[in-house]
Amino acid sequence: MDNKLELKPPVEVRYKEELEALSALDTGRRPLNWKLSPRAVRTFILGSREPLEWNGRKVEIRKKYLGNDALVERCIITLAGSRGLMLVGEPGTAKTMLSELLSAAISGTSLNTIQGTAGTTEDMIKYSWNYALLLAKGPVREALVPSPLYTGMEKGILTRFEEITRTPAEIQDSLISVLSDKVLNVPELGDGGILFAKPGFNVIGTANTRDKGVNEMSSALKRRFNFETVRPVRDVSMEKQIILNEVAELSRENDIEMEPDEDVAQILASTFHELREGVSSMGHRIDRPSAVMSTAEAVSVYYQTMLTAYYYGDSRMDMGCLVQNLVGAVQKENGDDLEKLRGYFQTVVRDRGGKEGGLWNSYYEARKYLR
Amino acid sequence: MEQLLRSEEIPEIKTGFDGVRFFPVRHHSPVCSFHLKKAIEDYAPDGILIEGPKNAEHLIPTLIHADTRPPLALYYAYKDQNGRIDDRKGEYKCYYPFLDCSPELTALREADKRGIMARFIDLPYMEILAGTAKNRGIRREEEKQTYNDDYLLSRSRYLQLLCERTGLRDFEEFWEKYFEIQGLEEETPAFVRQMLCYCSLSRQHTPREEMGADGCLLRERYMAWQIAEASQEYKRLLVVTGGFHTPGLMELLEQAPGGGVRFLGEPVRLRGTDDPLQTVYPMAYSMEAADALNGYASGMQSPGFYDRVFQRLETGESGAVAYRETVLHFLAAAGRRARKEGESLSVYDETCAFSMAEGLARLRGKKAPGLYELRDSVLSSFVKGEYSLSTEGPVRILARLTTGEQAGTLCADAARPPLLDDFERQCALLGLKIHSTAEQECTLEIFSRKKHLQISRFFSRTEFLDCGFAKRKKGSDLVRRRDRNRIREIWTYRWSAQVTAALVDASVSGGTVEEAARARLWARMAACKGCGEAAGLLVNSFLMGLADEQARLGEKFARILAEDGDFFSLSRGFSHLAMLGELQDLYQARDMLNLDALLGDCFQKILQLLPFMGQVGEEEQQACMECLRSLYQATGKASCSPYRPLFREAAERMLERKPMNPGVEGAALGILYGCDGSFGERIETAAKGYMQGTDQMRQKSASFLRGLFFTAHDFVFVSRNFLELIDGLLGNLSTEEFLKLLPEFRLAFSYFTPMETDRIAGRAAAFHGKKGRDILKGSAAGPKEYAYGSALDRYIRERMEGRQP
Repeated sequence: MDNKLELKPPVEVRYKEELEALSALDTGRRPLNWKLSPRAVRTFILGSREPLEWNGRKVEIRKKYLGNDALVERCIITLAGSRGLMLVGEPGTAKTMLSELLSAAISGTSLNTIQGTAGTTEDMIKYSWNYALLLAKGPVREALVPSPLYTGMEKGILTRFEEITRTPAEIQDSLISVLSDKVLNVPELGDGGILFAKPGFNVIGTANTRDKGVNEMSSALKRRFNFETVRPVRDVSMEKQIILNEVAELSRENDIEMEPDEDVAQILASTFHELREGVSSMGHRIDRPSAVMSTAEAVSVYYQTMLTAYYYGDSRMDMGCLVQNLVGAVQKENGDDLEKLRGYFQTVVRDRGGKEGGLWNSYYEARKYLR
Repeated sequence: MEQLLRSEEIPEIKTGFDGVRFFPVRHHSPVCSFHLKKAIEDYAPDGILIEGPKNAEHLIPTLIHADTRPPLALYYAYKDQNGRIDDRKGEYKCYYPFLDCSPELTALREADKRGIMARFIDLPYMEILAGTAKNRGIRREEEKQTYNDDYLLSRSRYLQLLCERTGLRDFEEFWEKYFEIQGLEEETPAFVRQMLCYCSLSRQHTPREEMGADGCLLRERYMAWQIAEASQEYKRLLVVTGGFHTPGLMELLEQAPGGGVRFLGEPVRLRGTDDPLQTVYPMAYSMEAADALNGYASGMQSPGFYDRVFQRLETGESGAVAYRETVLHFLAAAGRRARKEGESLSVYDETCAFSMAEGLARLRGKKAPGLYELRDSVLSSFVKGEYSLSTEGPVRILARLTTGEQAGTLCADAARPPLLDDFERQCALLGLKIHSTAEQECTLEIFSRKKHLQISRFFSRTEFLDCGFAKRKKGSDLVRRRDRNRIREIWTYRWSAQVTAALVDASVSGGTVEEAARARLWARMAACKGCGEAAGLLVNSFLMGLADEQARLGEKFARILAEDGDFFSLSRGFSHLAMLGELQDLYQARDMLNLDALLGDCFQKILQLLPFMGQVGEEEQQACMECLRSLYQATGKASCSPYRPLFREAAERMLERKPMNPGVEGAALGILYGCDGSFGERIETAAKGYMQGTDQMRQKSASFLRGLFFTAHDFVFVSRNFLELIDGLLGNLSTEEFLKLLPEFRLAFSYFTPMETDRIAGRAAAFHGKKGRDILKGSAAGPKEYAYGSALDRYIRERMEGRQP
C-alpha cells in the first residue's frame, strides 16, 4: 500500500516495520490469536530504550503514547481478559490513538471499527443483510453483511467502538450479551446461526466525558468493561514533546519540509497547560476557559501556523499567526473565553515577556489579534 | 537489576569483619525481617546491636513482652530548658514505630528467644538533636517527627535514574519489585550483598555535607564506637542498622588483630547523657499513624499490606504465594467493604481484578503481584465509569485497608510517663470512671459545688491538652462566647487507648496534667500573634483554674496588646477581657490580671482604629459588624460603662468618612440608635439614600439593611415609615435585581424571630390592602410543577455535594 495515497495511513501501516521486528523477535507467551505477546505490545506502545536488531537493521521502537505507563499496562491486561476496555476522558487526550495502537499491535489491524453516532442502530453493531442476495438466495451466510463486531468475533480480533456514548443507551446495550456470553445469535440462519467468538476477540470502547459522558451508560454494560480514565498530560515538557512529535509526523506525511521550532512549541505547550490548570508557572491565577484545551488542539494550532508559514510565509513561525489560530481554538463554545485568553496575555504572557524576553515578547505583542 | 547496579562503578562489597557482621535494613520491611531471621539462624551471633537511641534501652523488655502487641512506638521527648540545642529552648519529640514486620523488632525478639544480648547503639535522643543542623534530619519542622531515616535511601539522584531506566513509577515501586518480592527468592547472603550494594551507591550519590547536616556522620561515629566497644566483649556480633548507615559504619572500623574491630574515627563527646529532661516511653500505636509517617519517608507505605505479607511468610509460605494470597485477601476484603458501603461490586469483579493483578505482575516481570498491582487492579476492575470523586470509593476503601486498621497494646507493666499516672490519680480522686470505654456523662453545678468546679477545671485542662478525653456538651462556652448564661455544665468523657497515646504525647510538657497544661499555655502564649488569641488563652487559663499564672500572663498580655494593631483581634480581645471581668465576680476570683488597666489600653487602641473601619471590603464586613456589636454589648456592662461615650464618638467619626461599606454603616447607625434614640431620623435618611438612590446604591441597600438589623432590628417596629420605604424599594426592583439581592435580604431578615417576621409581613400586607394571613395563601403547585421543582432541587443538591460531575 502506498502511504502517500492516504491522508492518514492506519497505525499498522505507519509502524509496519516496528511491528514486524517486534513479532519476529518476540519470545514471550502470546494469548491465543494475539499477534504479539503482552510484553511486546507494551514495548510497541511505550518504546524500547535500545533499538531492535532485525534483518541486519536497527529498528528503533519509539515511545508512541506519552503519559501514564501503568495505564497502558492495565489496558493490555484487560484486553487479554474477559472484559472489554473502555477508555474515557476529555477530548484530545489520545484515547483513540491508544485504542488504535492497541488494536494494531494485538490484532494486526486498527480498522475493525464501529463509529458511534446518534444514528447508530443495532444492525450496524451486530449484522445486516445484502438485500439483493437475501432475496435471491434467502438467509444464507453469504447474504449477511457482518459488522465490525461480527468480524471481530469471527476472526478473533479486537473491535474498536469509537464514541460509544454517542449512540443511544438502548443500542449500546446490544453489546451486553455479546460481551458476557461471547456468542452472537443470527436466528435467520437457523441452527448454523450461532457465532461463537474466537479467542482474541474483545472490544475497546472510547468515550469522551465532555458532551455525553458515561453516566447514561447502563450499569449492566458498565459491568462488562474495565474503565480507564485518560487524563490530559500534566507535564509541560512532555506536552511540548508531543506537539513536536505529532507535528513532525504530520509534516512528513504531507511533504512539508520545515523543521518544527522547539521554542514555539514550548510557548504553546505552556499556554495550553496553564490555561487548562488555571495557574501559571509564575504563580498567577488564571480564569480557565470552558473550551477543551487539549494537547491535540495545541498540535492543530501549531500545525496550522506551520502550514501558513510554509505556503504563504518564509517558513518561519509567525507569532501573530499563532495567536490567531489560538483564538480559533479557544473561542469555540463561550464568548467569555476570548476575554479569559486576553486576561492570560495581559498578566502571564506580559510578565514572561518581561522576564524572559525574546519570543515571549513577540508573543505578547501579537495580542492585538485577540479579537 | 544486577545489570543496572553493575552499570555504575561499584565499590567492593564487604559484609563485615571477623566477629562482626552487618545486616542493613529498611524499616518495616518484611523481606528484611525475613532474611534477618535467617541470618541470625545461620550466623548464631552472641550479641545483636540495633540502631536505636540508647536512652530507650531499658524499654526493650516491654517491646518484646508476650502481652505487647504491635503497632507500638517509642516516644522520645526532650525539653530544652537549658538551651542545649539552641536559644529557642523548645520542646522536641519524635516516634520510633515498630510493627510486627519491623526488622528491629524481629532482631529484639530473636535475641530474646536465644537468650543473647541485644542493645541499642545510637546516640541518645538529645544528642542526636544537638548534632543535627536546624530544620534538618530529625529537627525538621514537621508536625510529627520520626526517628527512622529511610528518606536517605530514597532521595538520591542515582535512584531517580534507576526508576527511569526500569520504567517504574517511584522508589517504592522499585523497592517492592527488586527487594520485597524478588528478594524473597534470593539466598540471604546474596540479599545482603544486594542491599549493601544499593545502599553504598545511594550513599555515594549523597553529598557529605548533607549527611553532616542531617546528623548522620555524628551518629555513625557513635555507633561505630559502640560496635568496637561491644566487639571486645562478644565474639560474634550482628549489627542491624538502616541500610544507608551500614557502609558508613564499616568505613569507620577495621579488623582488630585479636578478633573484633577497632574504631578509627574520633570519639563523640557527649553533652550530657543523663539529662533528666530527656524522656522516653513506649506507647501503643496505630497502623494509620505509622502510615502517616510515611510522608516523612520513614518505613514502608501501606503497612497493613506488608504486615499481612509478613504474617504469611511466618507461616512458611513461599514469597510468591505469600504475595499472591495477600493481594487476594485485600481484593476480597475491599470488595466486601465496598458492598457494605453501598458500591455495586460483584464477586466477578473481584475475580477480574485478581486476574488483572496477576497479568500485570507477569507483564511487569515481577514474580508475584504486589501493592502496585493490587492498586492497579482495583482501579481498573472496581471503578465503574470515569474516575472521579464520585466513583473513587473502592480505591479509597483499599487505601484504608492496606494502611491497616489495627491498634497496638502494651503489656501491663510497661513504663508510663508520670503524666499518665497523674491523670489516673486525678480521675480516681474526682470519681471519674476510666475503667470502661463506654461514654460517661456528668452534670456539673460549678457555682454551687466545689468538687464540680474542680472536675470542670480538670476537664478543661485535658481539653486544652487535646487528648480527646472530655467534651463539653452543654454549658457556657466562654472561649467562643456562647450560652454564657448557663450555670450548669454537662460534660461527656470517654477513656480510650487514643487518650493514653495523646497523654504520652503530651508528656513532654510536664509530669502532671496541671503542669503540662501550664507549659502548653505558656508555649501557646509565646507563639500567639494577636490580642484576640491571647485573650482567648487568658479565658482558657481562667477555665483551667490556673489563677496563679494570671499575674504573669497579664504582663505578657500587655506586651502582646502593645504590639497588636489589628482592629478585629483587638476587639475580640476586648470582649474576652470584659467577660473575664464579670466572671471574676461570679467565680469569686481575685483580679490578678490588672484587668481594668488592660481593658483601658485595649479600648484606647480600638478607638484609634475604629473611624477607619468603615472602608473594609465585603469579605471583612461580617467580622466588622460583629466587632461593633460586641463592643457595644461590652460597653453596656457596668464594668465598662465609662467607655460607652468614647465608643459612641468614635462610631460617629467613623460615619463621617465616606464612602462606607453599607453593612458596616448600617451596623454603626444601629448602634448609635441604641445609644441615643434620636438617631432614628438619620437612619431613615441614610436608608433613603440607598433605596431611592442610583442603581448602584440600590444594589447596596440589602447589605445596609443587613447591617442595620444586625445591631438594631427593633427599629423596624419603632419607625413608622421604614417598612414603607423597604416596601417601595422592593416594588421598584426588577426581577433580576431582586434575585441578585435576595440572598442578602434573606440574611438581613434572619435576625428577626418568627413572630416578628409575622408582624412585619402583616404590616407589609396592609400597604397593599391585604392581611398578613393572605400572604400565606397561594395557588397550589401542580403535580408536574412540583415534580420538576423537586427534581431540580435534587439535582442542585447532588451537584453541590459533588455527587455528580
